[in-house]
Amino acid sequence: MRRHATREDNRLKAFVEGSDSTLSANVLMALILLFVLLPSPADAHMGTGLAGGFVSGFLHPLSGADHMLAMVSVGLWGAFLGRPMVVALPVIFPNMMSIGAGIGMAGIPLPPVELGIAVSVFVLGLMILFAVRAPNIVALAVVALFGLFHGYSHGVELPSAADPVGYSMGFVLCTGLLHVAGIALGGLRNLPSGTRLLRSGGAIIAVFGAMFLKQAIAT
Amino acid sequence: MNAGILPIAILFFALGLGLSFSPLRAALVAVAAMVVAAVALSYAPLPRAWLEAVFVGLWVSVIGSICLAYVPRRVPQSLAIAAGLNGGVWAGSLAGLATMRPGMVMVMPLVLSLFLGRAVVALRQPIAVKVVGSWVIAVATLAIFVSLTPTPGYQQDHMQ
Repeated sequence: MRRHATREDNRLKAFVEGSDSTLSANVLMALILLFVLLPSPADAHMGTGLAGGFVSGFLHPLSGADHMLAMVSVGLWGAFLGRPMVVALPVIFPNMMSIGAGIGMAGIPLPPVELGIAVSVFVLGLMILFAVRAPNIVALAVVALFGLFHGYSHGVELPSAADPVGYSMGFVLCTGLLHVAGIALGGLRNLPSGTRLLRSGGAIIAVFGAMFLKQAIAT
Repeated sequence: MNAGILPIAILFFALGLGLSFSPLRAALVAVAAMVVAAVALSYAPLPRAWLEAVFVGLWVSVIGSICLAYVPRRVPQSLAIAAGLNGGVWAGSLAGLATMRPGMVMVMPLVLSLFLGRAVVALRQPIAVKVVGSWVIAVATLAIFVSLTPTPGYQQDHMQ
């Protein structure tokens, strides 16, 4: 078994180095030709012709640094605040995001959404940097408001997705997991100089927030 | 409709999680009530025009089912059975109207999430179920908004 694995390793090495005769240039050319001739989904016009679905929704929050940083920050700040906020914030954010998405879909105007999202990253970064222990009601209100802005921007994009239920599931799940990632990072507080590390992370998030804010004001 | 069997699957999953906060006997009776109601309603001759309304009703039911997880004390038996019946009615109605009976039967085991929920509750971590429940509520809220707003995702293209 081990000898077989070693032989395979050697073949792989030889292939990478270009000296394996079994995988000749002709075979590679044939493979390339095969891939070129294979019908792509676009040619075959599969599905409804609209981008969407679970994977698309799941990847959406990961595609923008502003959304991603805000969601991780919510979990991180929750970890700083401790119970019950460590649980309440990740519960309130996705639900307010859904309501924000509904407002977006209904076409009800909100104050500049990009500005609101940038402010959310900046403020959450500052909260972590200064380890602000805000009263529960204030923390909930702040995160709820930010959730509304993030949801609004998602909601405006959501209607153009085919399989909107799959898309919604994907992005709610991803949002929740980003919060959980933030909470897990918050666990670093228990390590020596972990709090300092996390607060430094908050500073970096705030700097990114300031950059987003500058961009949002400029546009 | 592009959602396929997913809404019914989410309803069964949500109901299972909600029932994990009720006594086991009540939960099992509720599951039995759900199965009977779902199968019966899937054969009921409902008007096709009700499809959109049933779809919204099903999502409201998802929220109602998962809300059992947030009842301050143990879920009473009557409420658990009512939730099971309610879930079965909406799932069966949608399966019948959208001709997804085999699909509904295939996703029915998702209601066994009640055992997963009970295990998590037994580990004194009910909050984990409640957090997942809040995500389910968020998905259902979005789905209701989407179904009430005409969107390109719901418009048929030339392939449909």
